[in-house]
Amino acid sequence: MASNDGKAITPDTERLPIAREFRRSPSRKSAVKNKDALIAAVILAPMILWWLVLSGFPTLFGFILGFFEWIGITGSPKFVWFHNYVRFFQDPQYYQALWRSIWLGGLVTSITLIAGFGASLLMNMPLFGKGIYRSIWYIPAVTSTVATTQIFNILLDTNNGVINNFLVSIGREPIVWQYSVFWGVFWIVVYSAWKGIGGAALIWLAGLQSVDTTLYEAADIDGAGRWAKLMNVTLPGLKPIATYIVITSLIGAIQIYEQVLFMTNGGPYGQTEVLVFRIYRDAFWDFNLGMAGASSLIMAVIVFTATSLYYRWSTESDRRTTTRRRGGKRV
Amino acid sequence: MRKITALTGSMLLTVALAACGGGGNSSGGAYPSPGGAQPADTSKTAEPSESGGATTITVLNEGAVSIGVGKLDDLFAAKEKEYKDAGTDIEYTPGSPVQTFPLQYQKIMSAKLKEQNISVNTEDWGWGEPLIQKQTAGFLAKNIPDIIVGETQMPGFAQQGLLEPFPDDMADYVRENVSPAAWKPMELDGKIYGLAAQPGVSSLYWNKKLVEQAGIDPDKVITTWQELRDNAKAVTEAGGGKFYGGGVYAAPNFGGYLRYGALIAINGGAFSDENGQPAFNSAQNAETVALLRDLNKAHPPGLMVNNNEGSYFDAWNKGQIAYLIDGPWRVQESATAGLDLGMAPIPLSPGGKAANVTIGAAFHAVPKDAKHKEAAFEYIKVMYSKEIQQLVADSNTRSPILKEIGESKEYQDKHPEMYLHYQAMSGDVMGLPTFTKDNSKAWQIWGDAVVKSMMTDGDIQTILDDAQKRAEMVTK
Amino acid sequence: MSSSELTKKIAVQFKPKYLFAHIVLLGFGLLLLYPLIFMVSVGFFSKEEFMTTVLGLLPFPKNPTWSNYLVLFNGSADAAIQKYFLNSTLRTIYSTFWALLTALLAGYVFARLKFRGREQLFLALLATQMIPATIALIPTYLQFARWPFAGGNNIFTGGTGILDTWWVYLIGGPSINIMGAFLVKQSIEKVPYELDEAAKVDGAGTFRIIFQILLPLQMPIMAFIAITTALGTWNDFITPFFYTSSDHLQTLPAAITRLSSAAASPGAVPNWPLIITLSLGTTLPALIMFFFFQKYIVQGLANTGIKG
Repeated sequence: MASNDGKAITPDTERLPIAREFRRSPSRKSAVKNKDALIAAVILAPMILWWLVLSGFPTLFGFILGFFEWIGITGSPKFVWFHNYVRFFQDPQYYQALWRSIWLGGLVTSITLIAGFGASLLMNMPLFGKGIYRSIWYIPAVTSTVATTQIFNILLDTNNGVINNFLVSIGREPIVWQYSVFWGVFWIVVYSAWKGIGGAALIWLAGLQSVDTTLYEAADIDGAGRWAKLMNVTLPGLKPIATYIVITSLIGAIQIYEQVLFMTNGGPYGQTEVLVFRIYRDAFWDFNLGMAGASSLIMAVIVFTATSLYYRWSTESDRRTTTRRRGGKRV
Repeated sequence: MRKITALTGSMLLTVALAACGGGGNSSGGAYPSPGGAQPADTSKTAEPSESGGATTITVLNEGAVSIGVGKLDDLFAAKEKEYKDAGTDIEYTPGSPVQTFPLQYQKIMSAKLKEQNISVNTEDWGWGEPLIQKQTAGFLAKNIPDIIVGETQMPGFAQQGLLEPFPDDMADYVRENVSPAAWKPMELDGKIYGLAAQPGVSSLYWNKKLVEQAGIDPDKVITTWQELRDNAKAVTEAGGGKFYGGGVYAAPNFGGYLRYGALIAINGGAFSDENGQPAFNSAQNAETVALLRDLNKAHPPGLMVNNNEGSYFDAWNKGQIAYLIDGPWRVQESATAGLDLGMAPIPLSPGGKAANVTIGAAFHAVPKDAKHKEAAFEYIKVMYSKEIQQLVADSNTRSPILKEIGESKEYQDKHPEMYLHYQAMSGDVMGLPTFTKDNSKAWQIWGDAVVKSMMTDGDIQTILDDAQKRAEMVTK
Repeated sequence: MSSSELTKKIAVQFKPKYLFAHIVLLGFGLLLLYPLIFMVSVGFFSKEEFMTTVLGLLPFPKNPTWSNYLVLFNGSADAAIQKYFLNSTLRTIYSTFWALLTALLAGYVFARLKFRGREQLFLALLATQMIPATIALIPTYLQFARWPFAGGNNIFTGGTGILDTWWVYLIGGPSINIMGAFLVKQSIEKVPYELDEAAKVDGAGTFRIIFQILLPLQMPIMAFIAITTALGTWNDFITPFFYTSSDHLQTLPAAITRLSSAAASPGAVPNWPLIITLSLGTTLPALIMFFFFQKYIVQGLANTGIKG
């Protein structure tokens, strides 16, 4: 049933922009707008209010604490204006951790998405057992981080680890992973990619399947090669799903924390320490909720800025592709 | 929409204020002011017991004695059945070996507390990081059991004034009759805030087989740092990459600090001064770190600073390192792993004197906000009762803390290794300090400096000076 | 399909291009699977043997034991696995139901209704997903503890609020599922607006449009949201661990954390084979669920209004 519906509602290419224009049209009566607003309020208000009480308020509370100095559970909070924020950008333990979060998150996102894309191209072929492949690739995503990082640690242990045992058995020198920033980052990225690649492949696959097949036929008629089809049909068609997947992966990757805690614990000498790690330590070990709140807000602002810029850029180009004016100026 | 926003805003504000009333503002009232001495909140201690005359206290579990969560009396049957199914003898007579330690421990606790009309409800809040997380939140919300348990975080809680000090008569009794390892780390400004029923301190262990292969007499006890250095080097050379000298775990985490902390103390160094400010760069500390650097060369690369404590002890269990500084459980663990083991007090530095750090201790304490403080202190009293301590003695994995039992002739004869450990517990024993501010950052700076000293050839004093400077910036 | 089509399809599988795909997908798939295969074989170790064995690429114990797997299915005196399993299941069903309902309704509003500040409101909601969850943990705990009139509280103080009650699982239900709404919004925007218009002309109200016209078209996307929510809830251990203490409220992941922390008591060597077996066991129901629904997920995502 579901698959039929999926096909049945595939609209022709002209319809979507029309619908959009229709909605944007200034000639619409404000009465309709008011009625819409009323319905929207009735539906949204309860769930958003409830959300505000349960999630919004605690988060806001955490942010507000960013303007206080509150040392120790029994200490009393003292309002210190932007003191915590100033400290954030003066203390290398913070701004370096932020920088690490950003590039580590970027690295993890790009590797996961690129590898996932490659896998999805293969999974999109009419292969036997593709359901099994999908499941196998997705399995790491369902496992618990605590247990699987432990497995990675067993595999990677310098002294008795499976990989070093193997290296020694083929006559190589064992590698001392924890001496090196490179290997620390390497394994954090490998672990994160291991866990994320199946999910990414799945979403890409969905994107591939939604690309209008008639466009490929048209390209065939034009005599386009495989590469040209990928560049001119597949990739542009994937852009909207790329918006979703890039944004969600980036949000996830920049908050990487558990794998760092369990795999390198920030070592060597704090060279792999990420910001969420710091926030966690501030909140629970040092009970410095002021710094934890300030760091969270700074992080949220940075991620949000990046995300909304990307969102805007990608919806703009989405509009361009839907009106088939790729590369040209928007009319 | 605007109305909604305004409404939401004002509502948020109301809720925020209300929550402050519950969580923050009360710090002026029931919460003690930080650092300062505060009068005990007597109205709470005098709380009437529950109907029927019996008081039920809530106690956090500690893994070594846990038999499950819930009403203690309801747990015995299931646990007994489990032991029976596994073919384990559930009988126990004091003075003879015990196979069902947690069960017997809880049975004694339950019986002795029943005499005073107290029953126990256990909860499990985990251990390590999750435990600290939950305790922090519990303290803030004043939703905290009558007895809490923990390791390195507990002195910090005491420092913040979150714990109730032992009543004076109880504290006097403890000082007089109980081994310092059990309470010294929890002593602050002349008051005792917590107690561990079966703490550990570190000793030197060696794998006799490996030591012998290096041509060293496996039964000779080494007493100086120099001997430790030389022997570790000799074993490493004899091992030719198959096994190593070993020494002590020194990763930048509490597992490391707790173990080489004993070496720091022996050499007369310290992590902090009396005011909770870092004291990283003393000459004594530099000497100790120099020893660590030498010992690192007697380890498989990276092992000594491996973040995973498990990996280090794994290497010991697999017969890959010859020397080890660790707690008393090592005796039994090594027996399980089939190692022939030597045990002695930790060697001393030139001019150093015996000292130690409590390790693997589950400190039990009564929070200020506990609902049944008197009953909770009764619980702690049972922990150092003769019956419980006899049980600990019989377990042969830890030493009793009650002097009466630990110093008895019978104990010396029956458990020579654990008696050695008992003696170490009775010496100069301390806990790890808590820095006044941003504790974890200060520790991390220290830990990283030690790792850097071990992994590079840089001048140790310079590295420690630098760490000191950075740590001061954080804690001041 | 006819038999000739089938043979054609089989023949295609042996073309170089297809063989290459099979090899890559299977090869890398096994590589991805390797840590889990490793976990399965670790499950046969006893704690003692695990302690003393130098592990190879695929270790198998000399004296294999079923005891870890038995605990997984029967529980132990300390852990009633069946009870935790039931709690996990109930909680998962409840959260999934609400996630679907709120995502559908909110997705509809953001896709179809015109009101001032719509885009801003949506972006604001999306922005909240970028805040590290750690920051809200302590405030939420306080909020639960101070919940008015609950658990012995007079207005805000005196009791334990809704901590350690079923409410900590139930209370979050009706609040908006933002990521789900994002997906539903994308998906509904792809559905021609004329469908709504036609229904309106027939006199259908908003809720009839949502549930009778749009919902059937959103079934695949709903399957995707259901799976991700269900997996997330199933694996979540923070909520049960942090906000409850009683045994009767624990879920599988929380119970496993507890078992492993019991093993991590001072000085003890953790029983890794048991912990690893249990965490593997926790993911099993999730895996089965995924295997049966993965088809829907792909179709679900394909519906998100992605047009070339």
